[in-house]
Amino acid sequence: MKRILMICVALLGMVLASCHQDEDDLFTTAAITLTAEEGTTVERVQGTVQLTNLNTRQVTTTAEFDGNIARVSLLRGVYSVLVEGSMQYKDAHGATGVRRFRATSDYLEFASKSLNVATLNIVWM
Amino acid sequence: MKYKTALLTMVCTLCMSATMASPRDTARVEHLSMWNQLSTLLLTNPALHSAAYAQSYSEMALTIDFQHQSEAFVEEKGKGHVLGALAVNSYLRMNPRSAVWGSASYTTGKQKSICWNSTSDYELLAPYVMADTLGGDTHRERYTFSGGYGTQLGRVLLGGEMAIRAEHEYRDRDPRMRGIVTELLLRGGAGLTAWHYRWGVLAEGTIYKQTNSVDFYNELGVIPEYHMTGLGTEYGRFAGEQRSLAYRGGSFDIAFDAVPTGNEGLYGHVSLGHNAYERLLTSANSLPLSRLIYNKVETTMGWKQEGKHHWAAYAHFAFTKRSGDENITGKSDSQYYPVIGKLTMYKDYLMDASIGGMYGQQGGDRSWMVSLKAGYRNHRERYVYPERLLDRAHAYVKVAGEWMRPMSRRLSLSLGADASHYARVSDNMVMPFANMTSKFAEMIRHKYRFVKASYTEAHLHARGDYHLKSSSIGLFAEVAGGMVLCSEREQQVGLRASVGVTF
Repeated sequence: MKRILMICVALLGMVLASCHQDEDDLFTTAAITLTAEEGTTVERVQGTVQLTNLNTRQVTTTAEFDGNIARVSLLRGVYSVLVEGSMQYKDAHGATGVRRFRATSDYLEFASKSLNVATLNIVWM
Repeated sequence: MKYKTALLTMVCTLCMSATMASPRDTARVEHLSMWNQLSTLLLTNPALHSAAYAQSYSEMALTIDFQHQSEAFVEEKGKGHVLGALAVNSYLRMNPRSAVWGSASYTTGKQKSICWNSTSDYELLAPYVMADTLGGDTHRERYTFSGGYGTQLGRVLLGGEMAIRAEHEYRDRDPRMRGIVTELLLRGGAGLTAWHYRWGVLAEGTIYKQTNSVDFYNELGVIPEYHMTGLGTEYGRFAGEQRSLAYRGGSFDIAFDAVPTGNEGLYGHVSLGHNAYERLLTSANSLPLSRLIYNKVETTMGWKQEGKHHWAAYAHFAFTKRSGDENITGKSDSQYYPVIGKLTMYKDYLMDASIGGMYGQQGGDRSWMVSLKAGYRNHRERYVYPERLLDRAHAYVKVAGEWMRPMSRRLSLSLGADASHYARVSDNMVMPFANMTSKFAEMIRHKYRFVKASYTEAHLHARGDYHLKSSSIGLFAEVAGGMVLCSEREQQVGLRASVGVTF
């Protein structure tokens, strides 16, 4: 009888141990830093960041920049990123200018549950 | 006067012959009576199955099954089917302590107008199926084999069972889906007779495999195949050209049972189960796309009494939670895609609670039973982000009756009928229609229309058994028909006809 009870408890343990743990940490924060050529300091950015989730094709956008960094809360995943807008910068000679720019990447990983950091080089338009 | 005497003799002979219990009729009633429905869950334990019947009974049947829906209630399952089957079922009592049982069947036919599903075993694997907007009829072939043995060693009962299912589903015009399924089931059961009860414990495992692909022969007519992820969402990265999948998985269940050894007492069943099915993209180096996990609990508790009158009352509760994990796939390197994370995006909760009762008389070669069951079912499907929700609840009631009786020494008749009504109690849908393409929105609207509907069902069946002279072989013919009326002004009709032999 004791042996049967032990078998029952062991079987119950196996089923309970195999219970699935849902992964409910779905969102993360991505910080995308825009950089220009060497010697150029980015002072201010006005533009749109468009992040397309490669797996689901869902698109997330943001226009909030803190200096040259855009922070966005989004579903963990892999993304293609397109940033377009205008940038106020100071060049190597200390002259300030405003120009249109674009920055893209066809693959960025924002899969970590903590902060995800990425850097994109811009192209002047 | 002569005429009256002859008539009286005939009536007396008929009555006498009707009261003489044929062993074949007794075995048939023991195995096929509605009373056995009370034990369906308990008899999955092969140790208890070996002690369930006193007599041997075997049956071979050729069946034609037809079903047609005016509009598909579930698009992924189609509008109906025409299936033919040859099946053998056998239960042999070797001696008072041991029994062996087995079955084999072959089913072939056509499933009509399937849409949004190119994968076999939709009910098991949904929502993680491959799908397209075109669909069509599919051909199906299914082979099943099973065998089991149970014995009693003193107070201990032991039993084992194995079952195999192989299925092939395909379409011979574009989109040419093909699904090849194999499933192996192993069960081991043990029991102990103590304190006027049989206590049983069951462990059950399955191994499941499916290879699934879609081809197009017309190069100009290629349409995208979607890897669905639930409630109208899809894994867009691999949609279109990646059309070869494999499913790997299985299940593990345990159950505890208690059955009175005498004619009356409490009976009960509790089972816990866990299933997991992984979807692999074979055309991308067996990349795991998603994983569907079931966690199940089911319990029945009741009282039954078998005597001059049989009666039983019971309560049943079942809860299934299905979780769907979508893998985050990284960048490919020489066609190898790393999995860099997972997200549980799909959640599905199904709860069913019911109470019921059965009353009737059963003894020897005759039986009549009536049953009543009432319950509540809630089904809540959710896709976490962007939020999608499909929630519905139904209250239901079902009445059923069955009558089995020999009409003469050779001929026996069984009649049965049931009717049920599933009434909508509540429903709710949250769906981002503004961000959905028209085809996907249309599919979800169709799904919602039918899941929230109320349904009324009625079924009838009649069966005649004829025993051959001086032989243990009998012949039978059975016809059954049913109708389902949906509150969305659609309906389903079903017809089934079987002929076969009993031995």
